[in-house]
Amino acid sequence: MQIVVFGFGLIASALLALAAVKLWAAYRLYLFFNHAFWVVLSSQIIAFLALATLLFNLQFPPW
Amino acid sequence: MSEAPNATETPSPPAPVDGHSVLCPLCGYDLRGLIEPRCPECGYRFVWAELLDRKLNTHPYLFEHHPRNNIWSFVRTAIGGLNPVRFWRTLQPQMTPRPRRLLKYWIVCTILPALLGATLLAATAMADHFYPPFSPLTLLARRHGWPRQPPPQPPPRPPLVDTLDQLSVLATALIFSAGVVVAWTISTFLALLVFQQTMDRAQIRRIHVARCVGYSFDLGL
Repeated sequence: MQIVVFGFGLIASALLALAAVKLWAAYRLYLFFNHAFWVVLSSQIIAFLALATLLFNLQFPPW
Repeated sequence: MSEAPNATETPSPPAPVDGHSVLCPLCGYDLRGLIEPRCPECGYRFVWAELLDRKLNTHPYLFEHHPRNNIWSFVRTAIGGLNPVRFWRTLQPQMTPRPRRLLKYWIVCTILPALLGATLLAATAMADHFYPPFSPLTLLARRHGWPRQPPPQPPPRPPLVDTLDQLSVLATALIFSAGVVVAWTISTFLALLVFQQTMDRAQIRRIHVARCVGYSFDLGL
């Protein structure tokens, strides 16, 4: 069971990194952003914080 | 925003084509009357000939542009996305966006692993129908040490049930992963829209942001 969870975490992290690289390429080569790296990095941080907040509030409802 | 690498100084078009306005493909600004081939609103540099030639508005294999060859264009788009540098160099903003086709592509990419997981769960449920002592809830409770008193000895497990029990874990993980991908993609899109609102020189249309996110998060495949 732990191996399954570890494997899925590893695959999910790799896929997320791939998606971030693809998104960076899109912003750099398609939209011609000069600071594509920082835009993509900060968007991923915002997405992570938003989802973490959502999951935390679902797990431990404030009401 | 920076400049397109292939932009060159070319003369402005003599008149609007077919009576229509010539709009910037990124932000929709009316480009008529400009001398320099650069959008004053978003900074996008272009070549007039490429912007006005409608034959160049179709991508060679993009799923959005080939509704008659759905499977071929879907597979080619998914494979092409694995080399993002080449993919985003061949895809130009003036190539007409088709939001519905883009949404279909992303949904199929995301839903495939969830469908696989649902199929596996259905197979497990069928096994439960034939072997009730091994229902997923019972197995889950037993895995976490509940109930405390030793349970009555179940009948001998057929090998098929063992396999399906492991498959049910895999199926749950697949469905959960698909949910995470959907939530992460939507969060990223919304986060990038925040930047679109706060960056003065990045007044790009939402469909282009959706295009970037959609083709970057086709992770299900």
